[in-house]
Amino acid sequence: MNKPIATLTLCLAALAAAGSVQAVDLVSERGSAIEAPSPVPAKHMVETVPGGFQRSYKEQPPMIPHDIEKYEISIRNNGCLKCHSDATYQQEKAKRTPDSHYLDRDGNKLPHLSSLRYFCTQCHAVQLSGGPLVENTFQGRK
Amino acid sequence: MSEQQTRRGGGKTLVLLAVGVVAGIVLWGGFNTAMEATNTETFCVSCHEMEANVYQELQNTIHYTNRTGVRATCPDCHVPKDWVHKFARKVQATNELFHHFRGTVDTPEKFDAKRFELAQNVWRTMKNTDSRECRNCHDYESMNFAKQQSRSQQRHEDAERQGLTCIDCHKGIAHRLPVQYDPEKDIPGASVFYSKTP
Repeated sequence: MNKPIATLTLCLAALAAAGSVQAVDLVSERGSAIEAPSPVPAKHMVETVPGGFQRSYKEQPPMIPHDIEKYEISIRNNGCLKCHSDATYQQEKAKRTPDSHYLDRDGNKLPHLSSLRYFCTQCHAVQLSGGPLVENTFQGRK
Repeated sequence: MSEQQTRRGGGKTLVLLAVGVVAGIVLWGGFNTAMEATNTETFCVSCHEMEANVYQELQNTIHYTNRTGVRATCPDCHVPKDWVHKFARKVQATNELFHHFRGTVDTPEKFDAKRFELAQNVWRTMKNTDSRECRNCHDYESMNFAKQQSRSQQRHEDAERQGLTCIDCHKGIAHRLPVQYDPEKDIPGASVFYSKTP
């Protein structure tokens, strides 16, 4: 058997094997057939927790305890500052953006919110009432 | 004086009256229909200034699409419902026609450059009318505070006591806020954004 014929035979064998694999029913990780659309995930509400969430570990950026769908954070405006800025937090009874958010990266105090901290949702996130995706034994900081 | 003449005179008056009534109905009806035709979303967005800018922004908001399917169109918020104020607003709109033909805000860039001024005009009007157009749908009287989240409940009660109006807190809910808008200068009751020169 010369080389080209050997290669061809091997290829044919591989194709045949692939064909038999195809016959097995493939199921997606989420349990639906591969051609079928995935099931629509259950709808979960954003949790509203008066007083806020407990932190799960030291220096965790606090979770956002309310819906933020209506607030825009863009290059033009930051809707979070409507309640969380220095000038407004008292009247709105909201948490004040802490001093650390007014420092540049060299630790110098700025008169305005640091651009490093401007996009709140890079660190702070809302929580859905869905429960953990995977069963686990994680326990937050006591 | 014959009896006949008097009768003819009376007849004339009657005919005149009838013509007057019919003409009145037709003219008034026509005028009103024409005015109503300018009071639709289709009419508003037939100008590209509206279509390309504010209408696009509106489409991402709860006033355009929501779970119950109730939509607020342009005139619901920007044109008064009662006739006297509606007519006054329509007369005022001739200024908008003038600027449409001058092309004052005919590109998104021009619109954005003017946005602060335009937004302030609307905020000022709403402040002065106690947010009349908002209240066509949203009324303190028909608002069930108990169904609101505790924070909203508290803020609405406070606002009512302080004599604040919807726009004092709810700015930028249907359109993009101007870049000059600073929430720290817009503290409800002490906002700088209603005066002509902030």
